Amino acid sequence: MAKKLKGDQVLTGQLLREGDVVFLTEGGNWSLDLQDAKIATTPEKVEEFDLFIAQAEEANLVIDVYPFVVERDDTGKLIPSHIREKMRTTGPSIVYAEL
Amino acid sequence: MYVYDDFDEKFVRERAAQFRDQVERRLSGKLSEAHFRPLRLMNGVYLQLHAYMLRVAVPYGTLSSPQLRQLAMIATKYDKGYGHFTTRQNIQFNWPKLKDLPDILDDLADVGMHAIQTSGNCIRNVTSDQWAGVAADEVTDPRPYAELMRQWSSLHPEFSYLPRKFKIAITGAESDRAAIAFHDIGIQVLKNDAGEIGFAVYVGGGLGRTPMVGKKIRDFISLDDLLPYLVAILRAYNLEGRRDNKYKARIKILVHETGIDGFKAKVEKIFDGLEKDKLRAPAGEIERIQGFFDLPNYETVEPNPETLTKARSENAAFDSWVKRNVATHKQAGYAIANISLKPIAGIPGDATDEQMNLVADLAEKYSFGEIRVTHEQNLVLAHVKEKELFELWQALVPAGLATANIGAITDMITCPGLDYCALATARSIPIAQKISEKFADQKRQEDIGDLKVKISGCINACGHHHAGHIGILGLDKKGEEYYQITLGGSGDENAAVGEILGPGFSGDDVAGAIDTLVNRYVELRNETTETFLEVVKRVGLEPFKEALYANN
Ligand code: HEM
Ligand code: SF4
Repeated sequence: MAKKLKGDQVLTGQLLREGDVVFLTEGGNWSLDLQDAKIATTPEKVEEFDLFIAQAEEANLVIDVYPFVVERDDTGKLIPSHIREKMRTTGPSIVYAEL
Repeated sequence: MYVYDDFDEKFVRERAAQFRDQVERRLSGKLSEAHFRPLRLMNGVYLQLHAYMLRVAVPYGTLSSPQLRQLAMIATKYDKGYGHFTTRQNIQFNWPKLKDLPDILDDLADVGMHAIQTSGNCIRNVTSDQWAGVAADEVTDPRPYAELMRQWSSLHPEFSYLPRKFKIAITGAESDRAAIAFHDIGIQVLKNDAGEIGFAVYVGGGLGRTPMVGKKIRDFISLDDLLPYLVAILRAYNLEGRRDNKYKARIKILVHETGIDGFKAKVEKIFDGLEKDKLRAPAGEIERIQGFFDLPNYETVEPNPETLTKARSENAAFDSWVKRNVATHKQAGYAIANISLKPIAGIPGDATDEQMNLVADLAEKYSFGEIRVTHEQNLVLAHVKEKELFELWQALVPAGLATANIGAITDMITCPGLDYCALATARSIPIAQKISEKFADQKRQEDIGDLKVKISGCINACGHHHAGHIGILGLDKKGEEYYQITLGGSGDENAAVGEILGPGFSGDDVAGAIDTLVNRYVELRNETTETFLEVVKRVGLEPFKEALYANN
C-alpha cells in the first residue's frame, strides 16, 4: 500500500467501546498518548502496519485504524504534520462544556 | 405537543432493544464493524474525530420541558455536561461511549424521543418554522402536516434505501424561517380563495458541494393529495437518482440534470398512475394530529402593558433584548421570546446541562412547558405573556442566556468543524468566536442590523454558508486551514446562493476581513434601514472586493 513515504508515520484508531483516540505502541498495544507511538521510518515499516490494521479488526478493540505522518517539534515531541491529525490528537481547540 | 401513540411508543422501544442487542454483539465481536456501522448510523450514532457522537431527533424542533430535562440528564450522566443544537433542529452529544448508548436510547424512549431518521439515506427528520403556530404572519400551523409526513416516512419500506439522504422542510408562513428552498423538498402551506388548505411544493434544493435553490413543482396541491404527491416525487427520485456517484446522488442533481419541466413531467406521470386512495392518510387522521397542536389556553391579557414599557425605559439591556429577541405573537398580550445560544465569543448552539434545566423550568413557568429549537441553533419560548417578559429576561441573564443578538451579526450558524467533525477540512467555531468578539459591542451590532453570517468547516455545508449573507467556508490548503468568503446568499423566501469574493484568508485574518466588509456596507448604505443584503443586491460584489483586496 504505502509505497511512497511522505514522512515518518504512526498508526492510529479509536477504541471500540469508548471511542477514544489511540496510537499503536512499540509493544503492539494501544496508548492514549501519541508520544508512546511506534514510528515507521521506512516504506517497509509502514507496510507492516497493514498487519496491525488486520489484527485490530480481528480483535474488535480498536476501529477506524489508519496511519498518518508525524514530525518532531523543537523539544523533540512527536506532533502530527497535518492540521486534521493535530486536532484529532489534541482534542477540541476551544474551551467547551463550561459556558 | 404531539404525544406518541402506542404504536410509536412500541416502535421506539423495540428499536432501542434491537440496538442494545446489536451493541452487545458488536462488543463481543459477533458483529464486525462493517456490519455494525450501518446499524449504528440508523440510530444516529456516528464516529467523530475524538469520540462517538449521538444525534437525537427533535421532530420539527418542538420539545417539552420533561424532554429537555432528560436531554440535560443525558448530558450530565453520559457526556461532558453539554449538548449542541444543530441547523436541523436536532441535538448532538459529542462524547457518548458506545457501551452507554443502549442506556441512552432507553432514557430517550422514556420521554418519547429517539435518534431514528437522523442519519442514513432515508427521509430525515422533517424540519419546520420555529415560530409555527404562533407567528403573526402564518396561514396555519405547519406542524400537524410535518407530523403526518413523519408518520408516513418513518420506516417507509420503499424509501428506506434512497440514493442519498432526503430532507423535507415545511413552513406555514410567507416569511420563510425554515430555509425550505434549500431542502430536497420544501413545502409552504397555503390557503386558497375558498379557504381550503393546500401546499406549494418545491423540489431539488440543497447545499453541500453543489448548492441549488429548490424549484417550484406545484403551486397548490390539496391536503388529500399531499402524501400521494410526495410518493410520486420520491418514486421518481428513487428510480432515477444517481446511485453510482455519491456526489451526484441527491435529488437536486437529478432535478438539475433533467430540468424542472422534465422532472415535473415524470412526477406527474407517476402521480396520475397512483392508486391515491391507498396512499392518503386515513380519514380523521389529520384532525387527530391537529388535536395535539391546539394552541394553549391563552388568558385574556392586556397587550403592551405598562409594566413592559416601564421596564424597557428603565433598563437599556432589557430593551435591547426585547428589540432583537422578542417577536410578534398571534395572540394579543403574548410574545415569542427567542433565547440566543450565541453568547459573545461562546460556542454557537452549545448549551450546558444547567442551561437546559433552567430553560425547561422557565418554559414551564412562562410558556406552557414547550420549547422550540431553531435551525439557526437557538431556542424559543413561544407563548410568553408580555407582562412576564422582564421576569423571564432576569432569569436568563445570570445563566448567560440573554444575549440580545437574534438575527444580528453575532448570531452565526456554525457547524462543529474540525474541533469535532471527522469530515472537516478546517475549524469553524474559533472563527465564529473571533468574529463574535470583534462585533461584541451592542451599539455597533444594532447599527449594523440584520446580517446573517454562516460558517461551515467543509464543503458539505452543514453550516449553511451558501445561504449566508456572508458565508465562510473552511478549507485545507496543504495542511493549513484557510477560509473562502461568499457574499449575497440568503436562506429565506428570497433564497439565493452566495458568490465567492476572491482568494481565501487564513484563520487569523477572517474576522478582520468581515470587519472590512461590514465597514464597506455601512459606507455604502443609503439609510440605516437598508440592510447588508439589500446593499449587496443593489451594488453587487465589486465594491466589497475592492475593499477586501485593494491593498494586495
Ligand atoms: C458532526 C457530524 C456531521 C457529519 C458527519 C455530517 C455530514 C454531512 C454530509 C456528508 C453532508 C453532505 C450531504 C450531501 O450533500 O449529500 C452534510 C450536509 C448537511 N448537514 Fe451535516 N454532518 C454533520 C453535522 C451536522 C450538523 C452539526 C448539522 C447542523 C448544524 C448538520 C446539518 C447539515 C445540513 C443542513 C447539511 C446541508 C443540507 C443538505 O444539502 O443536506 N450536519 N452533512
Ligand atoms: S460542514 Fe463539514 S465540517 Fe461542518 S459539520 Fe458538516 S461535515 Fe463536518
